[in-house]
Amino acid sequence: MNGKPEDRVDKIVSDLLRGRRLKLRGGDAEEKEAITAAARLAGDRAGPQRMNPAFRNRLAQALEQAPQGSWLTRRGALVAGFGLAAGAVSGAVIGRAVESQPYAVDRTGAINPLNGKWIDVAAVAELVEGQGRRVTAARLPLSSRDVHDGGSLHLPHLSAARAQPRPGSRDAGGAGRGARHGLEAPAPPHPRHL
Amino acid sequence: MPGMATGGPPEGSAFPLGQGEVIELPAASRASDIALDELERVYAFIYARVGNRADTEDLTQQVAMKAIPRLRQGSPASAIRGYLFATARSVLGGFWSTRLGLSEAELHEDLALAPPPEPPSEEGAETVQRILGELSDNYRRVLELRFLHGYSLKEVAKEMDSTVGAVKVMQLRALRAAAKVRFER
Repeated sequence: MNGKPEDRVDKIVSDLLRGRRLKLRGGDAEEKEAITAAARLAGDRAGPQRMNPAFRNRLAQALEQAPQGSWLTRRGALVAGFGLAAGAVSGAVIGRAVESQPYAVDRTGAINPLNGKWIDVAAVAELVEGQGRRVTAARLPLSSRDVHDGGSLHLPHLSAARAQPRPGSRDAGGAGRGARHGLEAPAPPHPRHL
Repeated sequence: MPGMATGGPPEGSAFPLGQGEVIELPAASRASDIALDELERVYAFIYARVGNRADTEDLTQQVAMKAIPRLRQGSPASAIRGYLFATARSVLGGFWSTRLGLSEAELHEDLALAPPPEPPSEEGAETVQRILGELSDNYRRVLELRFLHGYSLKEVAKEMDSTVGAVKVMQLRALRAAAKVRFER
């Protein structure tokens, strides 16, 4: 118990006498008997208590909303619990799928990063379709996820990609290395391996 | 109270006694109606053990949410009461265990496991008096002034011609002694 036990117990007693919640700490266990005696004296001093009407109404509504007839069985409650858990997992997956994308695809199918920038990672000639490749970049605009250093990026539709060098790039007009600067439609799906 | 039949028209009713309509209220046979009435008793039971309304409401709601899905239509009131109080004792055990950071096995059984009185007690204040009556004069006085009269420590100190620090220590010792009186019963 932090501090003097008589101070701590008096704080608890004072809270109880003001009708406040019991706010206990782990160290209060040393005085558990005094604390519970105080709670019971506080509870008993005014005689048996009845529910506040508003609280009773809330409980009544909860009871009314419970299925009538045969109320939920233990098995039913278990199944409902699994259903809730499955729903939570599905919600997380769907939420991830529909979260805002960090890039836009224009009418030509070109990918325009909204919150990032293109970074040279490899020439098209260096990439093999269907195979992952380790890249070193802070962020890539191909996914809603960040790709951290050492991440592996999977490009399953690489054959559809073609060079789209930036105007003025030293690689403009050239094949191969120009692929560092951008990929054109179709928009790649979210990478499977990050 | 659901289930109570009307005993006749109220005074001043348009239907004089013997000529009025007899209205029969629906019987409280549904498990939900019985449970709600029993939850009043559970509420009083919990309040007497935690001493404040906010925690009591939380715990009563926990009892309802845990127990009600398991109740079945047609269950007798005694079975519903038994199940609700068993759930209440479990919930109270969890409450003290969590708040004090102790396993339920370490808790004194009287904290939560003592069965509720049958019929539900109407003797809260009497219980306090009985416990206080078993304490020494100083201990009884300090707890009476604090719990029954709502005195502050300073007021208690003045009343007992003592210091606040001494009253704090006395209060702690008196509560320890009160716990023994209650638990040994």
